Amino acid sequence: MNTRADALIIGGGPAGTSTAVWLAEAGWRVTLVEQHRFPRQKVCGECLGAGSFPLLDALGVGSEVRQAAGAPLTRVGWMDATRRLTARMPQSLAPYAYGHALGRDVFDSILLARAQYAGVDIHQPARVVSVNGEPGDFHCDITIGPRSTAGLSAAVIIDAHGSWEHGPRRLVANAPRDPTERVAQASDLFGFKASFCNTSLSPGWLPVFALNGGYGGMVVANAGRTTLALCMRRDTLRRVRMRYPGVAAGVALEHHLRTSCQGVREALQNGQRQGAWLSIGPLQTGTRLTDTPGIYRVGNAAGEAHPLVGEGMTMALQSARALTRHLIEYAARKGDVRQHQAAARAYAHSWRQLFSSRLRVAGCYAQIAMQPALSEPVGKLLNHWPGLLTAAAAFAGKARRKEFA
Amino acid sequence: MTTLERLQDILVKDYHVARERLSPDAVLTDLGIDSLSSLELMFKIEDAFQVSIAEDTPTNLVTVADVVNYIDNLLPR
Repeated sequence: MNTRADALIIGGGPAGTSTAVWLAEAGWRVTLVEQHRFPRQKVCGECLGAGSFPLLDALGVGSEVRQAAGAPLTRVGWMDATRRLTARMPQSLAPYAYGHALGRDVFDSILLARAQYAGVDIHQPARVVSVNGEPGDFHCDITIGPRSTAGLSAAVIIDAHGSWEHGPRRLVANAPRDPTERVAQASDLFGFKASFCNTSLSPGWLPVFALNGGYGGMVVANAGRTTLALCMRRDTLRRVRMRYPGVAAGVALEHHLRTSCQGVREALQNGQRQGAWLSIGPLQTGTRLTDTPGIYRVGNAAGEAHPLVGEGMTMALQSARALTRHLIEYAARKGDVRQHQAAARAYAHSWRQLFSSRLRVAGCYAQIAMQPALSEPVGKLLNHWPGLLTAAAAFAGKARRKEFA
Repeated sequence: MTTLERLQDILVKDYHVARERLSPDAVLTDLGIDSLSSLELMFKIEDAFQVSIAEDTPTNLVTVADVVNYIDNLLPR
């Protein structure tokens, strides 16, 4: 393992690996630690929006990802207890009109291999256990595998650990309380995901479903595998688990879905689940950009929208692009605190411009989907005017009007 | 029956971990309980101990002893 790096990146998902590639290609020495061995599954809707593909091209993996991914997502859908509606997906800018779905086991491995090719020093399974020091000279203790430990000096720390775990901000000794933690209070939503084979879900269709106390979505990803992901409120989850005692929470939810949502029941009628239900949470939507000089967050660690809109991976790539541009522009690896503050301000500005409206729209849609008093009249409206679904998808970021690459 | 013994019962029954591996300092990830299965463990703890996991589900539990301490803090004194 290298003992000195310009950037230490924590997390080997799309945000971490794409940040690693762009920094390495700008001449930075980059070390990346990932806690799991790959390939591995993640709780994720596995949708790559059309806006991802110019960035994946810029990373040099666009064609590989398109070849591996499922059919272009040309239709959007709405399901509730009795309705099953379809509308066209809004088109994005040429050359990529539509998004695709791709399992995280495949997608993350493609990006990690790309980072390795770019010269990134990668360690997995590994964890950062402490961070001390200041911008330009952070000292990090890392455990590699079950027993081995190593030390690393890094000018910049990039927190790409996703939304579910504590990032390096909590690892910095005697750090003052981070005001962003207030914004990122844990919600009452838990995330679940499973893959199915032999479903009757139509490839290229991306239906979301409204549940009393939750929401979810389904899509046919690579190799004909159907990804089903959902979020469920704590109180509803408790009721469902009491109705189906003695089974894992995800299995209880699957029973609940099959009985309470006609569209899901029909799609999964002959489907067989592959592997166990994965669960994680609680979900923390909102913005949590850190103001600690020299430590930056990217991807879900920086903030996330309700997963209903399926924009998490696209936002991961876009935030990585924005962060790396500002870090390179302000020569942040040299460790000057004022340069770090300027880079952090510029990144925060870009982040809010890119994502604030998506976060608000996603929050609004999530509330509609979770509350029958709202989802029922909305379902009726969509039944009469399916074009509203297309417009809703466009508002959620599914149609890029501006290029970003 | 102590909290540790009750937790060991859950881990043996639902996670198929050999009881002799479940010492207090055993690391959860070494036992095959990672971030993707720890939430399910929290649900099982809620059921078995009749407690309610706090709003901010813990993510800093590393060893079996950490989980035991966490449960003990949830139990009425």
